[in-house]
Amino acid sequence: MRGRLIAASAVVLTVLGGTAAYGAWSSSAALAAGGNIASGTFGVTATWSTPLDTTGMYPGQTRTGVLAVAASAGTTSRWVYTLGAPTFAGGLAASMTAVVYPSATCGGTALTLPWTQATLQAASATAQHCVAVTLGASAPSTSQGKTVTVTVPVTGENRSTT
Amino acid sequence: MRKTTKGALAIGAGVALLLGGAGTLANWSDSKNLGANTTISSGTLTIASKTQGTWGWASGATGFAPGTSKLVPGDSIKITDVFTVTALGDHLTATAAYVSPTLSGALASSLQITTALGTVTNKAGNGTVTPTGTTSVAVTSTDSAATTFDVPVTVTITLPSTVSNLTAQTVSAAIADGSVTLTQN
Repeated sequence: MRGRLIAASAVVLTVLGGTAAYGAWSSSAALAAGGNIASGTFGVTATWSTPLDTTGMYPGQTRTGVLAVAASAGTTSRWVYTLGAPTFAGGLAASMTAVVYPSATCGGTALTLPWTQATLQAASATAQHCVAVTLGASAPSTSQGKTVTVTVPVTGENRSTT
Repeated sequence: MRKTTKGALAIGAGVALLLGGAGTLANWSDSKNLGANTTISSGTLTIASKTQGTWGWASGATGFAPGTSKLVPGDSIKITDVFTVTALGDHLTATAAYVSPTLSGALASSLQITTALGTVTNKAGNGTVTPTGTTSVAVTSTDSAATTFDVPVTVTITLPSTVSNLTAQTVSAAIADGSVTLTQN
């Protein structure tokens, strides 16, 4: 009998189609463990540390006061401020002039207004400026018995804490 | 026995041997074990936290306390975490990238957040490490030795100085974790 030797091998291929899911390795770790951030507060106050008294002024007279500029309570940041030109209201307004000095000392070279303090102020700092107001020598007689109020505009602006 | 009988017996035996498919056939066969004594190993792809930073003033000043310190316009805080990447595989490429933390709360909309990968350090192994700017870094492993490196990731949060007037005062925001993910390409 003639026999036959049959050798057979089979390879089965499984081909995944384009829409099938496949896995790729990935690993992750947490970034920047959470916390809380809070914002602060800022405001500016302007008061007369030495009151400016304009009562009973006569033509040619100058009166002075000291303006104190500070950041409001609770401020933790540095800050800067700008002084504007004083304004007047009342019966004497038309005859009044004013100058502002760099410090509480009423003398020397007056500031050119508006003027900005560029030096960073500490949160708790207080800046002082002498304000000198003058009733003009040519104030008319009709100025008698009149009053005036003086307003110095101050604008504060915060800067970064550090 | 007569010859005729002998021939008949021989034919009968042959017929018995040639019976078709319904019967049992014996064929030569042989077998061997495929891949005998062969060990197959898989590689590694991991990213793990090495150093967890703490929030501080971006200027380098000390004294920042989360939730207690008060940010004002112009302030920035930052944190830097360091991660270790390990890649092991003869044909492995992967990319590490970040997902920035998210902010919530009344202060959130006024804050800006930026995230950046820093310079890779402590590289070991024969693979290559290729940063793409500050957004991602690719690693390639081409042999059976692990490629490892450290990568710092810095998150910076700023309350911009452009915040107008007195908005965003005395409010807060919560920071939710971001992540750094290493993904096989």
